[in-house]
Amino acid sequence: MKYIKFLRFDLRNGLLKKYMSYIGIALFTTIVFLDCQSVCRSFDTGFTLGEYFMYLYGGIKKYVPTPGEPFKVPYLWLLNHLLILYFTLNYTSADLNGFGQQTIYRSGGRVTWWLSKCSWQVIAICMYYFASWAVLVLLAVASRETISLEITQNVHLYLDFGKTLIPFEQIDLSTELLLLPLLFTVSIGLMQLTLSIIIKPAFAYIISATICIMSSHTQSPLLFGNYAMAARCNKVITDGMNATVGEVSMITLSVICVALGAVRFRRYDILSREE
Amino acid sequence: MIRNEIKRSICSKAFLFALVMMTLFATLSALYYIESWSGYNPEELNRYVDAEGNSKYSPDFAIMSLFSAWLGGDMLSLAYTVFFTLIPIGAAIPFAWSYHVERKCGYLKNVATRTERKKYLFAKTCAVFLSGAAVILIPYIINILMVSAYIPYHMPWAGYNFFNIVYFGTMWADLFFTHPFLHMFLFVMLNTLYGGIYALLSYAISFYIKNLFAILFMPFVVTLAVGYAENALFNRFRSTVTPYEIDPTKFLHSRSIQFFQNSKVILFITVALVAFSLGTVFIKGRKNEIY
Repeated sequence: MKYIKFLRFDLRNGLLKKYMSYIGIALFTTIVFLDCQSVCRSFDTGFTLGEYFMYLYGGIKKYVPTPGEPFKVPYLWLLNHLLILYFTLNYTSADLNGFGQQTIYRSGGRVTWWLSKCSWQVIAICMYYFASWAVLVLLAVASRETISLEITQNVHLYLDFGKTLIPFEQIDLSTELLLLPLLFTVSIGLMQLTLSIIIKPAFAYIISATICIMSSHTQSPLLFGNYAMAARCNKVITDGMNATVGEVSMITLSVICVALGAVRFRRYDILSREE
Repeated sequence: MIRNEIKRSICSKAFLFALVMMTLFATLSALYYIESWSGYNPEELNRYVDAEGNSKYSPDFAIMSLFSAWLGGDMLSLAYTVFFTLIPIGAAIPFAWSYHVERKCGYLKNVATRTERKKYLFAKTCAVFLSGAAVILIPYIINILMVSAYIPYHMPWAGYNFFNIVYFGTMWADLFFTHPFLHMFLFVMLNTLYGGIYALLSYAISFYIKNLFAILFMPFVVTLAVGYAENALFNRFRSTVTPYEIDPTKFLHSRSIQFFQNSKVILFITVALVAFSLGTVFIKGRKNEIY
């Protein structure tokens, strides 16, 4: 019952009152949609929803350091994850500096409070993704683009994903384009939440940003960002990342972070906190 | 007051954290090249160059030079990617947040009743700039000392420009082939300047926004957005517009890693950022309500 009350409070204050951040995400999605549309029109092609998802969540092909070929940072992929992580950075810390102290003190349920914050983090990130997808579908319908997750060979015209194993038309990338980016943001978000009570939230965000940047540069199963790039999955390239391994790894990371945070928070000094 | 503010900015855990973070990436970049090029044995590479730094046998060795291996010439390693992308955060961590915290905890009220606000703002601006600049400069010095201890310098050879990626016509390209040490020095200074500018930007944001995380991370997020915007614009209008680098984290690199660096564009961006930061601090700062 306490958990439900906490969660209701978090959803009211952390979701409904943060409507400006949803407007920010909607604006970001709109700009990227218009950019993708403009690029496709320059090649006299339309685009499907799947191709838009590829544009936004596809990431960058595996980078092999070669003299004369500098690494190009995938800004769009980074922005998508780091914006959402930035929007969810402040809430828990601000609550703990204010009203949260009272609720923890009066309810006596530290772990319940922590689990509520973790649930809020997951729901908030999912809501950002759903808001982005909703805006996208509306824009696609309004522009009469194809509402389908199919990816055509046209994607090669404007995205440099290198040579693929088989043509894109024959690959089903729905898991890699819809589930894995969301799962990655959720797992890194929970890690950021846990780190924010072990170190400070600002340092936790720096670690999240560093993981995202490292994932974009180096293909490694330990850098989970790689699973959230469709351009690096094993359906597209020979030594690519396995989606199932990615799902299991990211869910494991999430569970470990929640458990670690619960253990840490039971003995956490909530009174002597400062920004 | 200036001395006091500078001391507070440099003798702090935040400065140490930022310095360690940026130095870590600068050191890893140096190790990447030392490991891959010289195998920790400078003599191995020194055999191939004469006293003037010219290659004795093959111009190929001009590629494996200090000028390609220092942090500003590194185009391959993971460490350089993280270092340049995190410059806006690294510069803001040491002291850019201090005005926000001092206003929030009431310290500013005590200062305002004891000294002129202009003096306080000037001292704070100097301290913020210097701490941001130092966090970028010191890792560069460490990186260059490490790399130069193991990898000898060769005069860059224009024939291998597709490896150097210093295109003719980009900013200071002539210096790279004639006075490469001066070219290196100028880029280190430009990076140091931008360390200070990024710190000032975060400081200026604290006059508009009362959120610590926005103050620390907004320049970083905006820089990412600028990086995306320039890719989108220049890839779309490449045939009609000359693509000049406008993203500071990319034009701070001594090579044209994506688009051309143009001195006028960089000067314009630098002046605009400094004018915005100082204008905000000294105009808005004087009128800002602190009571």
